[in-house]
Amino acid sequence: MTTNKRIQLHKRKKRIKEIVKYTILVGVGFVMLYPLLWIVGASFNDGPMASFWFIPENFTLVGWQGVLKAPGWGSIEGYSMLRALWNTLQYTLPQTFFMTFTTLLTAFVMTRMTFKGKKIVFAIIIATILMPNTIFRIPMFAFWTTDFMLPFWDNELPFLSYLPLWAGALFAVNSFSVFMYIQFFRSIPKDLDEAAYMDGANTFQVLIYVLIPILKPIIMTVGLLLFISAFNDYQGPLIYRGATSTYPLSIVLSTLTVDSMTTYAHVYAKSIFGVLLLIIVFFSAQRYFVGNDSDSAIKG
Amino acid sequence: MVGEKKWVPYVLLLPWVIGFIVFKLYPFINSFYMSLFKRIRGMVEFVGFQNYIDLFDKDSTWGELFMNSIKVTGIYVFVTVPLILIVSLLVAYILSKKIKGVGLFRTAYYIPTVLGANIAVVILWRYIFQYNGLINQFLMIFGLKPISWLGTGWGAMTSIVALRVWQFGSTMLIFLNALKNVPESLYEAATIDGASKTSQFVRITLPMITPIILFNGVMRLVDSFQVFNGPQLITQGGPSDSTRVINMLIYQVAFSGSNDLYTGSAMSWILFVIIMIFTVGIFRSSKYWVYYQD
Repeated sequence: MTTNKRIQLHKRKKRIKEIVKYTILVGVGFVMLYPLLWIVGASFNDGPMASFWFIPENFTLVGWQGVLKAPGWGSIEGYSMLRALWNTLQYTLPQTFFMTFTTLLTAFVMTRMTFKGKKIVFAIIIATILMPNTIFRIPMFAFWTTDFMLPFWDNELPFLSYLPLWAGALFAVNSFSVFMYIQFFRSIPKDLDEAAYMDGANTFQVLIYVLIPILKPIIMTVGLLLFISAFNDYQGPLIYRGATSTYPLSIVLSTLTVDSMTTYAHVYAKSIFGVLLLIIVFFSAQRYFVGNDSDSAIKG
Repeated sequence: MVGEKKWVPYVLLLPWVIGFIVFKLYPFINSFYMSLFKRIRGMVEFVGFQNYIDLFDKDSTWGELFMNSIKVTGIYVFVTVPLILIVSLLVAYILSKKIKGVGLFRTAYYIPTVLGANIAVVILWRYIFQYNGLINQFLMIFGLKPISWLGTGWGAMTSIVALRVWQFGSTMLIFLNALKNVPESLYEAATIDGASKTSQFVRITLPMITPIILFNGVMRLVDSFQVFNGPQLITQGGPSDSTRVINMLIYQVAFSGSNDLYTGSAMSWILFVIIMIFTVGIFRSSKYWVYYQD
């Protein structure tokens, strides 16, 4: 074999490898995304989709025309789906907002200050990441339904009537968020803070003017993760659900079935409506999250 | 810091302290305390470990269902966790190489993680797996017979496992980050020594990321043991309780219908102990297979 031939063989081998790599990647991508595409197609199809191909066979707009009505929810006519969305936001927004900042504050204290008992606090934070949430659920329900706690949330007030679903956000109960922030704080050199302290800044000024700008990607990441999990929460709203009119999207959608008033197209269209906001939020924040080529905010 | 008052950190930590006591410590202890009681003819009475004994007694109200749910949950966990780890590690490994459009793939693979836990998608999963759904349409392209996914025990289990494995995105991102932190010099040295790509993967990549495998494995184990949405909405625990997992049963006992918070607490504690046994076991075993630098 001449050198020339050997180089050619090597090149060909490399090209085959490339092809295999991309075939796998595209194949996985197909498995990941095709079901979603098929669902979109099905929302324009009259009757059940009876093919693998996502283009609807009997095109109809009936599902999307009725997308905002939820017949059977509360009455035959039903409330608007926009009400369900608003109900969802009444716990998703406070949960995301408060948790993002209380866990940030906790991580700041844990990484940038010295105090007695720090090691114990750190051990507790790590241990509670692994605590199964199931174990807290029943006693917390008993707690929220005591005569003392009930008046705080058993009312008609916006946001407050969903208090059990987001009260923990005021108290940094999400250990995983704290942990993610701690990891990120540790990657920021302390010289930065010290320089600011030298210039006469106090603790809060250092946090707000020096650290928070650097922390922006991790704040967006934690916020996005919290938003996704609060928005998708089903068991919480299921346990603490009140009057029918207060049902959030997850509860309203879970009762969707094909019946005399609801066709397949309706079910598919409403389900897509149910995740629309999630998609919008994800795509507007994902550049911080999934990261660019040089860095990703998530640290193991 | 400089000239900082000693009490400042304690005040700033106060929200977390309250949160830990009210939302973690108190319910943790109280759920055990509650599990020692029982409602007998409208009166709540202390019964010691009777609830636990009943749960392992086939002839009690929940005994048979509960023991079945442990088995079912076990099957779910031991299929789902290894599958997620393998799939996400392999995909992350390919993505960690020089790939054009890596950001695009990464985003695409993460989308199911965002949407898959949403009730809307969980419900549509039911339509994807139903008899004339997407999966069977796919099988028919290859001339295979359609399968009654939701009508058979293993088929129903497959559908809920598939829903979870489909959401491998976050596990993948953590692996991807770990793979990037493996020093390039190790691979260069191995290449000079003539090691093949496969042996580099087995001898360099895998050992270097064992701490992350441990982390991902434990995280997925803990959340898989608590699976709820899939079985609740896709299979409703069926057919014939083949997907009635523990968390579903806890919900059923404590919140829907019988409102038996006491038996529910006992079930939660048994689930907790099972999870702890596995977690501690894995951490104990880690000294034999996890490689820590320095």
